[in-house]
Amino acid sequence: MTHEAIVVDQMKCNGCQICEIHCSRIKEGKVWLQASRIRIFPFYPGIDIAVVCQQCENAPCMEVCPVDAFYRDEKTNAVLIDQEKCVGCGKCIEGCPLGAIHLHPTTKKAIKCDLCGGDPECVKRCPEGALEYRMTPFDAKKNLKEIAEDIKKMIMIVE
Amino acid sequence: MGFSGKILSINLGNGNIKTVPLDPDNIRDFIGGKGYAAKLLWENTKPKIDPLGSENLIILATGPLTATRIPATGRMCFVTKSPLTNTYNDSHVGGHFASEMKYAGYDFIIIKGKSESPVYVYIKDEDVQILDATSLWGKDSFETEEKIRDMLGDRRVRVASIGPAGENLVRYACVNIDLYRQAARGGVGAVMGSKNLKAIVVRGSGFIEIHDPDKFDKYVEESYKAIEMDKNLYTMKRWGTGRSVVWSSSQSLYPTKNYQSATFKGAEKLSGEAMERQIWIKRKACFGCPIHCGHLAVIRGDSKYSGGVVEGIEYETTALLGADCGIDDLEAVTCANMLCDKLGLDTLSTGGTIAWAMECYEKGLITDEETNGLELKFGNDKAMIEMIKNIAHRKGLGNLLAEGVKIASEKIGGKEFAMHVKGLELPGWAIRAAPSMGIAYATADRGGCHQRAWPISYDLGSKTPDGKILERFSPEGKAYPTKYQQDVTASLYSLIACDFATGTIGVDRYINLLNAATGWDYNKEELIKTGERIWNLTRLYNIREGLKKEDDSLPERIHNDPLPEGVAKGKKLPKKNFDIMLKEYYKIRGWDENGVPKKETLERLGLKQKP
Repeated sequence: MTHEAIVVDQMKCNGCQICEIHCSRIKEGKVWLQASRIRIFPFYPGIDIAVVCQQCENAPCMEVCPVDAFYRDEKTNAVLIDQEKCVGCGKCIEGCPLGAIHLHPTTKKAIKCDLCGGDPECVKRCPEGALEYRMTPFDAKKNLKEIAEDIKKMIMIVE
Repeated sequence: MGFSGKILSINLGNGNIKTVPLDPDNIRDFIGGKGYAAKLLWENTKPKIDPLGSENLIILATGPLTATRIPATGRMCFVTKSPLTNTYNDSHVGGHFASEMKYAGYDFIIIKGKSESPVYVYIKDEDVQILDATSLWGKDSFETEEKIRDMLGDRRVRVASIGPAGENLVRYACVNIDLYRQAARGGVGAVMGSKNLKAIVVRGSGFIEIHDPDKFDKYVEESYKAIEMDKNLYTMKRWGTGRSVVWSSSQSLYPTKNYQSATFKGAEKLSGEAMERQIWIKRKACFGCPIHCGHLAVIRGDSKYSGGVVEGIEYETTALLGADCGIDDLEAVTCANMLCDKLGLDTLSTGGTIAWAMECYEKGLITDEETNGLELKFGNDKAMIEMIKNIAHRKGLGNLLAEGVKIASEKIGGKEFAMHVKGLELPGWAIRAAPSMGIAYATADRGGCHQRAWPISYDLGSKTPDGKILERFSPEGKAYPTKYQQDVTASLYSLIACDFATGTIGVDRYINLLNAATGWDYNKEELIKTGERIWNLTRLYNIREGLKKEDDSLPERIHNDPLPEGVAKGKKLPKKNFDIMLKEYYKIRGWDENGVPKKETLERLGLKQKP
């Protein structure tokens, strides 16, 4: 079974944070990176990695949530969080291998990419076309460091 | 509105940390960024202080548009008294530090005093700490940044650090941000080094309030659209500043062999196209920038420099570390660029200084004994790379060259071909084929700098701001376009805008954005007048620090040596022509014959002789 998610071409990401700017604006009404659902992390030497929920088939966040706040969107199949149920315990944040779930800076509840209901803003805004909204067969299995190492190998950086 | 609202003041001498609210009424006449930081420096430093003494300040400045949704507003500047020029100095840098600083709540950070032992400053919103940096001292900038991220366990902190060059007080040491972005010019890194300050680290979680979000959004979307559609920006997006290399050389604007020539046979090998073929891996952008002019370069294959990784290389670096040193090996220049970033050196001043030393060596002013057997000839890339390391560590001849060409030439001779203005080594736009650049360099507030005015296009036939067409090599009418650009740039550097977006977004739209963000009511006339106010303030500062009319001058080579080749073959900028331009410049500035702002000029601008 495959599903739709925002797929990142890490080689195209230039680290400009325009996705974060517009994600937070759509979700919070202002540029507030600390509340952005998609995030950029810089790795040495100069590799920027965009992290966004892959809406995993077998989502670990769903499994570890003690209050069963996670559910699937019927239309987009996105993994969503019921803000009423969420107690902000952070178990899902620890459980996500990618690090794609965050605590909201004021509500202190878990937030993540909801695919903007099927029309993701970041994908429209990325000036590099590094973000694509499409079918992907993958579950998020890797952490950030492993992704960075893969890119280094790909572009022949030896240390 | 538009601002974060606070000024953070850190005294490294006694450990005092203070936050004061920013008064928008007080800041309005200087906008923010460069303008307001110049005012802070003017009011908070005593006259004639030692730039490397504890009394000097480092002011980290952002503007009212920084870190908003406007494209290309990720820039900031470091303002201080320069150890290279003894003048006012603002050194601009992109990357992601400025946005993080504003989200942490600070528009300005003022650093005073001197710490007794190495420290770094860690700012996490309201929590500001001065922490021990003994374990970081001696490390290069790349290692420092990586180690700080590991130590703090936070990949998203932004780091402004110095390398060994800053620690060793090399007069043109830079500050490094996001590994490969530098507040390069004027030696801010040395000032940090003199304060035993290894790094400033910032992490912010806040946001910026906008006065009129609907209007603001309208102009922001217009700006995005304009950038997307601008044909001229296509080449910038693709090749970065490297797009200008071949054109510049073809117009005899590309400094070659310590400015002996301005046409470089190897220009094509250093062009953006060559970089795209040979070294570029992916693109890099500053905060919120859809232009993304930067590129990550990796030297691959079996090159003797293979393994090097750096962002760039920029036009200016190809000019100074490349052509000006007679080197057309792209991989060597890339490696030199990487070393400069790593060790914390300004690539322009480093290239300019080594080029001068190469000419000294060829003319016998520097001997084999002094270079320790190094054949410091034009075109010898190995020697250049060795010399960069020696400069950063002040080893051997490097100790002399670490002072910059002005001081070095006063010590050993070679003044007539020491290519600097006020001590700042000239950048990569040669003068004799575009004489307007001469007046721009001679009058720039921080010395030989191309970013205060770039009037070359008027020499090449573009209409001036007042609708005139100028004769390329004649001195008449050259002062006004330079003054106009200096005033506009001083305002835009207070917003803070990026040079590469200003042409596309345009002054009018910036004014709309500024008003929508802050609730002010600026118009074009007032914005330019504000730029003029800022320009006169930095002039007053420089005069207070001892600047004389004689300092508004160019290297003798420009007046005496005709260009040996290229489209402007045989051209020089005779001293008498330069004097005509300078006289005209002082006149339209409202300055007296010695370049001192007249009383009525200051009154018109609302400035006082003394702070």
